[in-house]
Amino acid sequence: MTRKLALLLIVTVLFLPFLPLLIWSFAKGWYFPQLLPQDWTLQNWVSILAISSKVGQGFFQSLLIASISTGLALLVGLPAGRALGLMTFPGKGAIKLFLLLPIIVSPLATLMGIQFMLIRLGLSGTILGVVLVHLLPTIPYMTLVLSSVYANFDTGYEAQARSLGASPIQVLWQITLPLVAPGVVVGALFAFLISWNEFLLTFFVGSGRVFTLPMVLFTSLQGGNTGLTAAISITSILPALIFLLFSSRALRSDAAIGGLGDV
Amino acid sequence: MFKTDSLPTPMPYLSLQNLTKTFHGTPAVRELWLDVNPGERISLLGPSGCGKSTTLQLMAGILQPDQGDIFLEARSLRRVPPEKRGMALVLQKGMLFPHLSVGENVAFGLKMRGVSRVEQAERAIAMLDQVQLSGFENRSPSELSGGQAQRVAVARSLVIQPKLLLLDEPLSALDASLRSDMQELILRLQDETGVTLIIVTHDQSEAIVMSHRVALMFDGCLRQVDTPEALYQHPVDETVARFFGGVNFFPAEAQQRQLQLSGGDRLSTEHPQQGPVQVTIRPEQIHVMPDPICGINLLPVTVTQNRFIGTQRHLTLKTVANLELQAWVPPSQNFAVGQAAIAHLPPDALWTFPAQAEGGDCSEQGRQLASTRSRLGNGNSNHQAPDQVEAQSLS
Repeated sequence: MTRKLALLLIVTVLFLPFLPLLIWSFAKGWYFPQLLPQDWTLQNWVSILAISSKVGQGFFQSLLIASISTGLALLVGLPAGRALGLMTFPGKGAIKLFLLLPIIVSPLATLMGIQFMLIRLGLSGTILGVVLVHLLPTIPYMTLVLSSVYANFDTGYEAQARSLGASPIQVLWQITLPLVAPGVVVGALFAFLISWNEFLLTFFVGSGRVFTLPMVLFTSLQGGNTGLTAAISITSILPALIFLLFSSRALRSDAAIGGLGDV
Repeated sequence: MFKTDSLPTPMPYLSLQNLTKTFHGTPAVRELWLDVNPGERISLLGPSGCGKSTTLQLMAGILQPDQGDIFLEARSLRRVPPEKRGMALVLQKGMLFPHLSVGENVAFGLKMRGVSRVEQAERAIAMLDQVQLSGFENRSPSELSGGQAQRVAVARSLVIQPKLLLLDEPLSALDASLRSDMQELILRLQDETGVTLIIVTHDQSEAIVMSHRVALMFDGCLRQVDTPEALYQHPVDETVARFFGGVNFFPAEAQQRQLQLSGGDRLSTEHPQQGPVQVTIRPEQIHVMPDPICGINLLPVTVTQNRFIGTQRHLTLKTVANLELQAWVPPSQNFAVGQAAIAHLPPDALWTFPAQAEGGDCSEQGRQLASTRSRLGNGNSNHQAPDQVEAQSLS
């Protein structure tokens, strides 16, 4: 009973900030000193859900960019994380520090140079260009998460599988990936959300031609339509919530977690 | 590179030839030669860090040797990846795949070989029956006890009918009673399947129970490969003898079957030797009698210590020439401390080895052990333990 109460409390505290947003998105004007809006409307949501709306486009563009960024970050992060987690080589500490650079250094400081490069490459204002700059913060996160996952991974499982007749590819698919899956899910979640919420890099590199959800939100915020902005905000939180629910299910499976301990 | 003075002998089932593996400049395995017959149970025995697990991993293909080669059924394994070697590995921790059920674990090797689903299930279940785990196929590995997990690991390895079953300290994580049950089980399974078994262990009693021959390793070198009996009775040097619980060592001058002790006593042995030697006798082979009798190899002694350990009595004896001997006698034979007695050292139990042969060069011994295919000594290892004196011929 107390446990349920505590859980309820946590959920309430976490979601309380979203309550005004939810109310705003259905309100037709909500001004001081009203406790609740006088008039309600579905207009904001209707305009968002219209297929041709900016919001819809932004949503799918964000989804596309975040998915590709996550995929590419995984492609780099899996081998890099393995190397950092399992192998010892000179300069490993320096490489780990180097990986933190995009997190330490403000993207504003590097934007000029990046923009200059991307313009020369003709990638400014393209989705590919945006994906590339999104890799700047996502690859370090992914690599660091996966390196700590691999640090707890016992390669004895792989040796065992090889001796039982599994080829390296079979070992990867049947043993290694299932065993590191929880870490991969966490890393992918991080990468996806970082890319999904990225504003500054997209704003400059996209040059107004790549229009992700945060950009839509930004313009709407400038436009001053509070109800519409609230609705867009909620839309932009949705994938994070869905992803979180999905991954918590993946993380709960103790068979997957078990791979990190010994049997 | 190889001498060809002996007639070509048929290639043994498994042959390790001149295996050398170095980690960061430290040799883990040095010039190791070993032949194994089909269906043989052989154990690699030695203290931790002696290179026995490395040797096993070289066989399994997890590690690549810096030098040398391994032949299985006369086929070089140098370029054969682990999955194609037909060797199954059982590691200390069992290493059951935690995301698969017990049945899926056992069937894993079959699945990799493309065996049909129905046959996989049939053979996995039959194998689980053989290790007395019927009905466990749907359980998760996390629900198993340590002994059960290890039995599943053995089943998983045997179901693929390997040419070689490699066990790396498979029982060291289990408690004593479970361990002897597992030893019985493994011996029975080996008997039924006829699989060639190589077991790595640091426990000499386990090595003795489990194997036809024991390969004793120190510092990356094979010291002696012999039957358990021979290792007890006829160790090649003091280190080997001490590893198998030898406690009595004393110097003597040998003239064929006569041993002249430094204190003046004369003993005769059935094992002829020449020159300065180190004599050893196992403590359980010394007979202690309260009264003088007629015969040879009798030493008058005084009992200086008497410890009752349940199944035996451990006596410490001192001869007139101040030589100390340990004798393990039946518990019924009680002696008072200070009591005079006669120690009988049977001639067949008195074993000798050259006094200076302690240690020796790895390649020297490797060559001896390889008997028929010996290597002309060049690759002399530059790493020598400080106590190792100049390499000498052992025979």
